[in-house]
Amino acid sequence: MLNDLSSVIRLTEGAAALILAGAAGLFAVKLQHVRMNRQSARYLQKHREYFSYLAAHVGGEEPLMPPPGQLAALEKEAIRDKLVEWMERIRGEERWKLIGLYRDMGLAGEDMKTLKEGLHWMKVEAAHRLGVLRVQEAVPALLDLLRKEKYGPSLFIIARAIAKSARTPGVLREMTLVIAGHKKPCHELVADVLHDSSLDLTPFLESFLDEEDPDLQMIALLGLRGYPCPRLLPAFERLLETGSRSMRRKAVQAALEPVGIIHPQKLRELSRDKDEEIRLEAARVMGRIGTEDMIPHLLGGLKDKLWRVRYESARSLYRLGEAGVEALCRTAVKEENLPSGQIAKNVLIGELRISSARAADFPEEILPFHRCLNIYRRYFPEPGHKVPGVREKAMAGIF
Amino acid sequence: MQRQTSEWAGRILSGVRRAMLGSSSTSCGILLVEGDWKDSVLRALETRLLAEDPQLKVQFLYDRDLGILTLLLEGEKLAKTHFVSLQAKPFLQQIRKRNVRMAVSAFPGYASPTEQELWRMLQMLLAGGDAAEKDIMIYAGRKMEKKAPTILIIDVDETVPQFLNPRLELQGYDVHNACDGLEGIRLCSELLPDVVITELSLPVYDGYQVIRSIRKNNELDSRIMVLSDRRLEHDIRLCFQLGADDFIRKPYSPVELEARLKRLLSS
Amino acid sequence: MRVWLLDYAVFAVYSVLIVYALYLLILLISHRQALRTLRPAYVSKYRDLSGSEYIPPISILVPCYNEELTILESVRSLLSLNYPEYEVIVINDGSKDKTLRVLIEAFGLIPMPYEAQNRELEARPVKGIYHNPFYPNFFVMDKDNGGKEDALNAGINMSRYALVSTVDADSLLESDALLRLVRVYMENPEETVAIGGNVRVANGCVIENGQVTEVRLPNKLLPLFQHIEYLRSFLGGRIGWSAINGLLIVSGAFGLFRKDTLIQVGGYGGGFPGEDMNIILKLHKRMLESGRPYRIAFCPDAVCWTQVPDTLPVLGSQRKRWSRGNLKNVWMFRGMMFIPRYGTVGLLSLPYAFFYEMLSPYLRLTGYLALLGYVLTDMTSWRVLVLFFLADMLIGMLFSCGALWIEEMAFRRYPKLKDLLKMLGFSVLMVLGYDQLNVWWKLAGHLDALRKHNSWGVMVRKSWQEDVAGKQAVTNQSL
Repeated sequence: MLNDLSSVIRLTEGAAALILAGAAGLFAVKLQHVRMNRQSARYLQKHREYFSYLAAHVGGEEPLMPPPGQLAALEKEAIRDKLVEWMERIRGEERWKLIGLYRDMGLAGEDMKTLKEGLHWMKVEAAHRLGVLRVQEAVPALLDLLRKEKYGPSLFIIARAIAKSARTPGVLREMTLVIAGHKKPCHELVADVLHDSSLDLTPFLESFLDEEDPDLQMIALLGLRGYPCPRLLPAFERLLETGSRSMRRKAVQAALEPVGIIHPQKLRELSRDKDEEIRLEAARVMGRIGTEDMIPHLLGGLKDKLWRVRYESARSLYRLGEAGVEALCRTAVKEENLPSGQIAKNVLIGELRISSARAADFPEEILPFHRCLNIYRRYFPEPGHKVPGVREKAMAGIF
Repeated sequence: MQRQTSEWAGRILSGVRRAMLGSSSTSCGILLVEGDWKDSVLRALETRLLAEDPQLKVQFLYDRDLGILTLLLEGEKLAKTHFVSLQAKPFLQQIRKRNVRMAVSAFPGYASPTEQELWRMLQMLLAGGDAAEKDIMIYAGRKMEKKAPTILIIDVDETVPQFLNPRLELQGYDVHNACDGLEGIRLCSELLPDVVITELSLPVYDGYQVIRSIRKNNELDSRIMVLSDRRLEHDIRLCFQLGADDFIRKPYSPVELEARLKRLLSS
Repeated sequence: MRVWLLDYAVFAVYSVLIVYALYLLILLISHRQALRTLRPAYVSKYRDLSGSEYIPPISILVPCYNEELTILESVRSLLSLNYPEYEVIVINDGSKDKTLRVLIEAFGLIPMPYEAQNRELEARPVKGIYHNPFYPNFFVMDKDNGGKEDALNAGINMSRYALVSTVDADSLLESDALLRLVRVYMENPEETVAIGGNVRVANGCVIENGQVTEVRLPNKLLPLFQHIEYLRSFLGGRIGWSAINGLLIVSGAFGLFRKDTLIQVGGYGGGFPGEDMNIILKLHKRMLESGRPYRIAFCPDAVCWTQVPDTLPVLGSQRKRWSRGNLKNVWMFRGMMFIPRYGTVGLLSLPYAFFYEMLSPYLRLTGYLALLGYVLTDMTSWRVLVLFFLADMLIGMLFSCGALWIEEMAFRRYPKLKDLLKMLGFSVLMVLGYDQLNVWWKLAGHLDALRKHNSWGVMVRKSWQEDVAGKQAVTNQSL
């Protein structure tokens, strides 16, 4: 029993010691942080006019001078962070001028050193800065760091830095392969990172289309979104046929936005796909780029078993203009008691109301709105349907 | 007072002419510093400046009655003169233990400064006591004479006005800032700015509301430029539909921004 | 008899210690994670993602009941988030006050038609949808009262996008919070089914126009204690649990979910408080049974500020409600405990929750009673009681300390030195009464649960302005 008590005593002593040490350490660390913050703020205040000088003259022909006088280490860091903040927000010649200044101050060299020698989190921060600077010489070291990095947010910070600094597509390719090697479905993130580069992505992304790895194909598909590239089509077909459910969905989304590479025939097939998300996407897109020959397929969509697909089909029909509105009205009358008729009616009323309110803001929409309203009134002449015309009291906004 | 200053101006002018005749330079930087300074201080300052840049050619002209110290920097343009003021300021402040105010300018050689301009520069130096931020004022020459167009910048990110204000003011614009939609709308109706540069993601009222409010206000004839990090097509389209005149994506090119600004103002 | 009392006390201590040991392990994992991964992620500013075309759109659901005083400010702050594409759906769950009218008037909303048949989740009838195309991404749903879970289900039915974020009506999201959450999602969109945000205590902060403009510690006692509690729980606990995929709860105040898995598990339900823990347990169970790899994560740099109760009755009511919810949730999923198929959740998290939430209050209470009895029979051994009490205190303090370390190393939201002193000081005070009070409330909550008490208790809604009016007056005067 005494033993029990003594272990409890030891435990208490241990805990007390830990807490005291912890609290003391915490206090010391906090004190240091507070001092550093205050000091940094003071340094930035001291150099306030210097930054005004930079802002005023960065666009001029004269070279930018580094800050006058001897700088303490923390002072340099404070100035460095502010410079990076500024450089992140601009582009063009003036950013290059600031980058030149940064280099002249020796800061780029210091970042390269930290990249190789610092603690892990310091390395990642240095990588981030070097990315903003687009320092080409840093690329090999950055790639090295990328290869050793575990999968997580830091991986992408380093990847972005590489994307920004890369001067040859080979580097981008290498980077993509490293990330793809982790076998995680982060395709959108990779595509986004690649778009931070100022290089032309098309050639090397197109080369991915021929790869076996579906991940690489997907990255290419996403990265080339918006480029009417004929080679995308076969890759898309392949992913559609053989991919997992999520891959198929991604492929459809990538292919349909913003500029469709899909043939209308394919679009119709997709609107009957077994996956409801794909049917949904197809229904949405038909309203955006569709022509009147989409109407029968959208009408089919009104009968889908999933409410969301019905809803998007109805909205897309409305977007097609007068022919679509006509089709909706007909369905609303003929299939009044079926889900298709109900969704048609509801979407009609809702969209007409929205168009009515919008027409108050955008006068060019008044005429189309009234044409649609007239079609609606032909089918539903009763006044009880409460769709206000534009002349009626405009809805109050805050202003 | 008037006679004194015109005498002073005359002295400065002849100093400038002498400087430009002597060297083959085509420009001269002028730095005005207010205050009483001992000769020893001025010597020390000169030594200090030459130590940092041995190539610098500087003339000191001190008018004790007026209390104005003038530094003429032969062959130097505005940016370098501004930089020299940054070097001089901490040195002088250390001695005086108070804020030292300065005015900076530079004149190209083919049109030497007129008395009038010097006089304006002096006025600027002696006058501006309100903004404690502005210790170093820049006089950018004749551009600033005309009625300055008013620009309102609305952005919650404070680095945007930090970067844009000095350069736009140098161009002669009268720049104001707001950091949310509500303040932006309020300042619009107060200032009736010529151009409003606004971000879209703003607290309280977003950029779209700001655009809408400006367009609905019949007294306001402002041009609206949207400076935003939103890149999606429908965002851009909505801005123009609501009545914005231009859209620039962040990260932006300041050169491009200024060019478009000029175009908006001239239309 | 005496010996038995002491033995029991020691036994109680050791049992509780095992639980604490696990917590300590989690704390250590949190610490390592915070330093290694989170610091750089926190520092990097997300400018790059903010306008991106690759970011998935999100439907934000805001269930509310009788929130007429704070709903406008919350909505305005939600509408000005830094995020490329999203919609905000406020679900008015049959409020008895003017919540709906306030919204309609402020935003000029007009009624839209809505039919609810064949929607995916069950919910009480929807009375109407309101919208103003001037605010194209803002919708208000008015429905019959059905509780928070019902409101969320109705919201899910209406939502347009594949990702759904649940936000409380009094949560104030930071402008990049959603971006940070979605970054975690984008790292692994297939496997990530839910992500929780970090909830911080807003009492005492300066709040203007729905944004926290200056972070300050609360002034009053209770919010200050809760602040430390939240740090312990979110920073000390959830970071670690998330790293081993054993997270049991994603705060209802701010969380992100994939809609398809939510619908697969049948949405929210249960009919008792604690729906945020319930949905996560359902998700875990479903995903583990399906055998697919998945993760439920916690993102501590995605911050949401919320007001916490500052009076004992309201706080007590909240804690009893939480305790009721925890008990019912653990009971409902007791089948997962200790079964290897259910991974970390079954082997670690649920047992931990069971011991910590359910058993340890009793152990502590009876342990102390036993000790008291022991001492009463022999007054000279009062030191033993003190010793045990001290041990208990110190362990509690250890956890507070650990959480404060993580805050300081990775986040540093409270820049003043005196803030740290205050937090350390109050963590001492906490163990002298507040923690014990919580034990009491837990027990009371269990009692309530057994009595089948299902209501939400009382939460007196204060206006944001009112609570910080004092603060703002002071700030304005000093200008």
